[in-house]
Amino acid sequence: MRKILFYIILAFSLAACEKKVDIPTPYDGDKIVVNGLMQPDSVLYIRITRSQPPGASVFPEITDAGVEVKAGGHLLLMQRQQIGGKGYFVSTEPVAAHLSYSITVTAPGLDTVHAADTLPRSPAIKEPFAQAGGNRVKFLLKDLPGKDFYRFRLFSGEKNAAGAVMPVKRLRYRFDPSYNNSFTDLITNNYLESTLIPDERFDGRETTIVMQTEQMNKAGDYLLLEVTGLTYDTWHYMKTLEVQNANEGNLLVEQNRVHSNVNGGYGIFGGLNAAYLEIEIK
Amino acid sequence: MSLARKLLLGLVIACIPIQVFAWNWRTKISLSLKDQPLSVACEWMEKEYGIHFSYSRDVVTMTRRVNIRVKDVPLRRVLDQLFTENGIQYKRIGDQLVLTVKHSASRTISGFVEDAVTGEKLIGATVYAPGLHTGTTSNQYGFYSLTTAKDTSSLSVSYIGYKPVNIPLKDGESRRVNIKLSPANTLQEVEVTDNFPKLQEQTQMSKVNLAVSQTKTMPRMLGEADVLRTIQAMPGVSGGMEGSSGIHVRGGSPDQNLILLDGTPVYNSTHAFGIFSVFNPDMVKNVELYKGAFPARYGGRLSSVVDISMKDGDMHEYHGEVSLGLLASKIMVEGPIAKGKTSFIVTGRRTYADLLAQDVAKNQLNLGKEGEFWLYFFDANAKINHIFSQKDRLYLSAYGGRDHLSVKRDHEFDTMNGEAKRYHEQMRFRLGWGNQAYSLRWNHIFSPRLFSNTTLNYSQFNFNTDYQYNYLALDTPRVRESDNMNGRYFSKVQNAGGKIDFDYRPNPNHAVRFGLQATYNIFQPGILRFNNISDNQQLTDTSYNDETSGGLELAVYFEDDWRIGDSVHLNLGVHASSFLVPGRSYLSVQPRLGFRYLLPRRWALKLSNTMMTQYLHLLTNSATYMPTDLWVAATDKVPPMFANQVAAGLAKTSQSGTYEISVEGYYKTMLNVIEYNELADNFQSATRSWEDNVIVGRGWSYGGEFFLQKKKGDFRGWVGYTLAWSQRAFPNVNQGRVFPYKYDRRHDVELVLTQRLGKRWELSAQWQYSSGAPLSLPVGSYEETGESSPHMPPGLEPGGEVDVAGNRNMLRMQDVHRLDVGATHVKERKNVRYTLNISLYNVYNQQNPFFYYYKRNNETRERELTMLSILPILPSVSYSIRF
Repeated sequence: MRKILFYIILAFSLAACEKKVDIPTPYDGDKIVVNGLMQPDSVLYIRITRSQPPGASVFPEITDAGVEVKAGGHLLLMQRQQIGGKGYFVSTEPVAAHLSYSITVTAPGLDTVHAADTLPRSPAIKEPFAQAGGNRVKFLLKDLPGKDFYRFRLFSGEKNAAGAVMPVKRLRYRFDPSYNNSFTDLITNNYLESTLIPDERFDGRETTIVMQTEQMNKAGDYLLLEVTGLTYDTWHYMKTLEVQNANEGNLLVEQNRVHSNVNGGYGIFGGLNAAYLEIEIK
Repeated sequence: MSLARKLLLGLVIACIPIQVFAWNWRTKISLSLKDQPLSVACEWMEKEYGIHFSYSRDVVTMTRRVNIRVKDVPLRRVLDQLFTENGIQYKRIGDQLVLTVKHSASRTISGFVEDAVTGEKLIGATVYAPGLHTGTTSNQYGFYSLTTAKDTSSLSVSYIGYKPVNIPLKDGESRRVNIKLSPANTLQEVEVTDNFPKLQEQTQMSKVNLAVSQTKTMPRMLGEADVLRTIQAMPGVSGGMEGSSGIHVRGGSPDQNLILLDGTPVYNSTHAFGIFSVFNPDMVKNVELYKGAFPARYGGRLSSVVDISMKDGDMHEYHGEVSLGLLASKIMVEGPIAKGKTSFIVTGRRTYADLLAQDVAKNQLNLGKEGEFWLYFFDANAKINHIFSQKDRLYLSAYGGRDHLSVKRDHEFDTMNGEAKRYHEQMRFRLGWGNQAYSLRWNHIFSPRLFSNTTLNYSQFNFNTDYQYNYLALDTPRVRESDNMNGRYFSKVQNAGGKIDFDYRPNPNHAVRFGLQATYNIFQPGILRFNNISDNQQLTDTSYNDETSGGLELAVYFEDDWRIGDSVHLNLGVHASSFLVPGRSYLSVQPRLGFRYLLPRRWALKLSNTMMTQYLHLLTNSATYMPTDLWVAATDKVPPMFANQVAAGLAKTSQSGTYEISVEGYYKTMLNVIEYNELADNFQSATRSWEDNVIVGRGWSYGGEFFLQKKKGDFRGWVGYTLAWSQRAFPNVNQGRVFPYKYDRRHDVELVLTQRLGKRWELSAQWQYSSGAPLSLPVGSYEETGESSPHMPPGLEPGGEVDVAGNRNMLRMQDVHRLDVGATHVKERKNVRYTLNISLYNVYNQQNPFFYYYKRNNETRERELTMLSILPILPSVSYSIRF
């Protein structure tokens, strides 16, 4: 909404001019950044990087970091791997639900950092439906009583040799604004890659959710619907990051802080629990 | 003594008691007369009770008509009732009551000061007794009351822009004198400025009276003259963002301004996100800005009072005015409903950019043939003024204005993103906000020294947005898809109230005002409603935060402008208020003190100390004042705001009234100012837990202001300089340390010049400079994540960084300066006035910072700190015809 208000202001301002400027800004110095999201039954991938002065877009990895992860008091063995050109610390055993996880990272010349989180429950989703020639994806979400936080995403998929649909590409869609108050999606034809929604509007209820996709559904294609349960720390990190990205370049709002549960550093070490539904378009 | 003489004396002595005991002061009188001369009352008492009256018809006016109805009332009380109020005194001599004229050392001249041509009441006109060096000014309704020596032979009445007049006073009695002033032959239609009376003759400080004519001759932005933009050019007032007409007074926030339109508060004073004010200058008669030293009659906001009076309408002739500008057109009509008794004035204004851009928008937004696109603001004012009698007048005024965006699509599509697909989409989206303000005011003159005004008013501000979306796939029966959804979000704040104000002038040494007010506030801070039927299945039909709450504010006040001696004046006042909400109440007693001492060379030293309390908070997490911000009542956790301001200054108007100079210093402390920390994400609603997102802190503002103005002659203008600090401290912001507030500007210079060229042209120029505004920028960046596994498909949008928000406002934007110029040409032919204004905004195309952010360079893929500037050089023209 503020984005659209901002555009109206710019329309009133008739013309805008931008130029690169240099304002010396204070910098606290490099800190350890921990980025690791824990998915049950999957190994744990952790990126350890350095923070950089404001405006940076490249962040050096700390290859010699000491990474100690505990699962309910049990130490996990971590190995460093190079995946897709990026370095990760990867656990040798999968993450188990119902355990608390903690991490301590040390690096020469940098403050040691700590973080901890648990794993959320898995969302209950069922009865997916997508019709060829249409641009809707429907499914049922059964929310359990209590506070839950969800992330929704949609992928185009392909069947692998085992017959499972694997995600290939993210798809854009939009929700009924009653879930996210995003009234302006309708007029701006704004489609999203992911949506973060708390359950406060459907707590404990079974709800039919309709996603309007940007592209028309084609017969024979596969879709993969992902609904992810998030812990509070993960939710807070993702939501504050979403708001920061959405408000980038918007003078109408003060810049918000992105939540971090990494004491002494930055980043997120949080739990999530994704559920998937395979949808064959007929 | 002879026997005969002794007998005669004895007879006389014997007779006297008989006469004396015929009546006495306790004699019970019964008398009933309706609209009869005094002489009839005397004749009746003489006939019925044997009371003889003696008087000279040349000296005592016995023709005055009276109404009396008494039964068995003591004689003295009846005589008091008959004679005292008519300036007649009585004395018993023997068996007679001798009537003479009551001798008094003073008398009271009162009445209204008005425009001789239109009958418009003039606010702040000076009524002066030259021989005695005493005077007064007309109040907000044009009423004046001057109690002066009985032998005062004339009054001098003056008002800037009008020819001064000398009113001879024939006799020595109190009387009502309505004074008509003729406009001077200037380019201005009505000119109202401050400093009459001279600055050294006012105890009031930290006050600015705005020349509405000055507003019209100043350089304009997009052809629109703007009252609030002119106020920004005064020391102590800053405008916030570039191009905004919002006002920030002495380090205060916009919600701390009490903006009154004919006595009714207006919540949101700007159109188009602060670019234009809601006050159509064609309708404005007078503007008073109080930056401090608040009179006791005002309360409820911390930082300023802007008291705007609307014109009353011409009592004698019909007039109209049509204006065409680059952005908006305006119309005004005024005239008598009953000549000399009832007048009206109506104005309207609307922008028309959307009318010009309708077709382009329909194509660009793919709205279809039946589609619509509207983006405009409008406002309208109306006022009726009726004179019932010499003592009673009624004013009914109304304001309504709205900013509006609406988009409607009604289109049948054959493709969707290049794929063949037939569907029909209907969509309507509306977004708007606006104020309404109404007031009914009754002026009553109880006596020449006691004036009253009773007001009933209502005001509201609301923000509303809604959508309606209907979708139907047309490739049926192959595809069955339909949506029918609608949603609405709105917030509203309303108040309705009544107040009665008295203006009492017992003698030249005291000007007393007192009154009481009651205002009921209703808050609806963000209500959401949704309905969604998809494929004939009801998915949603609900509302959220459908809560309404109220609060009653009661206030009483008293103030006395007291002339202790020729050189010493004191303004003593107190404003006491309470705020009642279910389950709790607050009480506040706010002293208001002002002091003036006349120094050698007629410089006035002025001091003031005023306290203010504000029971309403504005929940805002925006960098500026937005229509989506929410008004809420104070609570135990978020208590009322409180401010204490001390000011000291020197002021003087030159003997001729040409120059005015003032220097002031101030120090203001604020308690319970708030920060709202809700994430700035779509719409916010002040749910029951809004207090959890508020942090309460303290604020300080201090600084100095210098103002030099030339007010007469062909060349006029002013220079203002402000040196100021504005700070805040909150427990969780910047580690609890004091930091610069977002409206903190260290230096601010305003230079406004106007030059008349002949009878038709007036040139104007405005140059302003201010230090850079506080700025918050990230103090670091780091890599983001959103995946639990690197094997998931990457996002469609590039991204990857998180910015670390640093301490608030620890940096500064670059300094801001700008020159605007304008030229106004006025031609009159056959009672029709043609006015042309040509303006050039930002003459030397200065690129002032609007805001800063990190932007990715598409070539290098690196992020660069980027400054965005808006409002380059902007020419504009407006043309008006008044008839």
